[in-house]
Amino acid sequence: MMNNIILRIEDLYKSYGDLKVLDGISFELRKGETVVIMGRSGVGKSTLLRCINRLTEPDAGEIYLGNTKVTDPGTDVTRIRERIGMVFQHFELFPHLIALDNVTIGLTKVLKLPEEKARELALTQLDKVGLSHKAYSHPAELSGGEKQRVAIARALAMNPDLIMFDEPTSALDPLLVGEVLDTMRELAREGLTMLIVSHEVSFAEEVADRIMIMSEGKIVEEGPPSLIFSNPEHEFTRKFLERILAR
Amino acid sequence: MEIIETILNTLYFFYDCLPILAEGLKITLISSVSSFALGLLIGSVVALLRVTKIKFLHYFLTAYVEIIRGTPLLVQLLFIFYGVPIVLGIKMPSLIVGIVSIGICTGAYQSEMIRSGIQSIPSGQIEASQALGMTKWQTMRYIVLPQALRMVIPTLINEFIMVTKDTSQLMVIAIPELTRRASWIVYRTFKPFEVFGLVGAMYFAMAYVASRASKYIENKYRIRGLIR
Repeated sequence: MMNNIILRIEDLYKSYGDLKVLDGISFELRKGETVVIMGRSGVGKSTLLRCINRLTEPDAGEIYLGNTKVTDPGTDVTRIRERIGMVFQHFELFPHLIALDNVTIGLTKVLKLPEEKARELALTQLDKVGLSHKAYSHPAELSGGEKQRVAIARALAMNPDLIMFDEPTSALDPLLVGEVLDTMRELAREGLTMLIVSHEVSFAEEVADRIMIMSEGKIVEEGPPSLIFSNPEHEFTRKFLERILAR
Repeated sequence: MEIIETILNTLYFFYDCLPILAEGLKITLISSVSSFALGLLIGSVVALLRVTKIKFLHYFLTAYVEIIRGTPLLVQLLFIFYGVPIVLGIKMPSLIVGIVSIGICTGAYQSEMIRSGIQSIPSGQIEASQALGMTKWQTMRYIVLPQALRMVIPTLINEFIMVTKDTSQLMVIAIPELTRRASWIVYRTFKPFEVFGLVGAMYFAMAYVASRASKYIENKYRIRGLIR
């Protein structure tokens, strides 16, 4: 039954004080699937991603990564995190390390790969995102788009079961959004499992196998992009799409 | 021609003083470097323990930092030199007492400097590192500390300069460092202007070398492309 389900979330709750950020979220993610989560700012999309690798502790609910119960208190959370890549809105590269070392550090320190092997792997990943020529640059010497591609290479190099993207293009200059989306398109084509929070409608339409619309801590609508974008069932989805498409 | 004679005489006088002062300079350097190193050790440990927020330790370490910051080094020195042996019934060589006292004192200041460096690292980077699967300790070791230390190098070297000057207070517990030896010479020759002038220049030279070293180290470890 669980054969190709990579991530399963059951009834996830999270509140900050009186504010219910996640109000009973459940969904599954199959191997090779690309799912895009959309919704207004502040509806808990980021919190959802952060609960999945337990950067934020959920209040209730279960999360399974393959057969491992992420929410089990006995689970070594670092072992979970090395299997889930994460790409942040503000890149969060390590500024004291060159691009190459930003990618190798997880390989050598977390996966304990030998230095040589890690370098080789990291260079391959940097090449894949088109940045092998910037391998020896520090993050501060890179453009926003380049930083985000290094961050993607850093996540990819760990060979994770899935990669989560938290608004990966929201902090970018509009001119630089394209290069990052191109990289992500390529990954979707290769069959990487991805969970993406994004406001890029046309990108979502193109790469997503499924779109989930979140509102007030709940998934209010879910389905293939063709269905959601052409025939939104929910009043909220309709308004949301109108507003986003009008921009 | 009288002026030239005075200058020559003063230079001769300095030359006579040098062996005595050189010995003092050696003690000043030894006590500066060792108490600073001890302070760096104390400071790093205290800073790390304070950011990990272990409740019981937190109060204890906060008290340590506050007490040291709120009392003069001279009082701390006399307290440890005269007070502690009476209570504990042990007597230590005065140089050790001096080094330990200044070490404890500068340790409190250094812990605050290092702590501010650690806390200046944006939380997003810490999360990125944890999202990679690094443990708290690995995050500290490979992500936070290398950046935090770079950031506090100038303040730490400034503290080292303060420590070299603070060692002059060791004269009150009879350690024959630079300033104490200078006062010996003054008692015998009655030439405070020349002697303390020369000794001041020696302190200044040490501080100057340290501050040049600071610039050099700062440049050497500068993160490329990062503007501060």
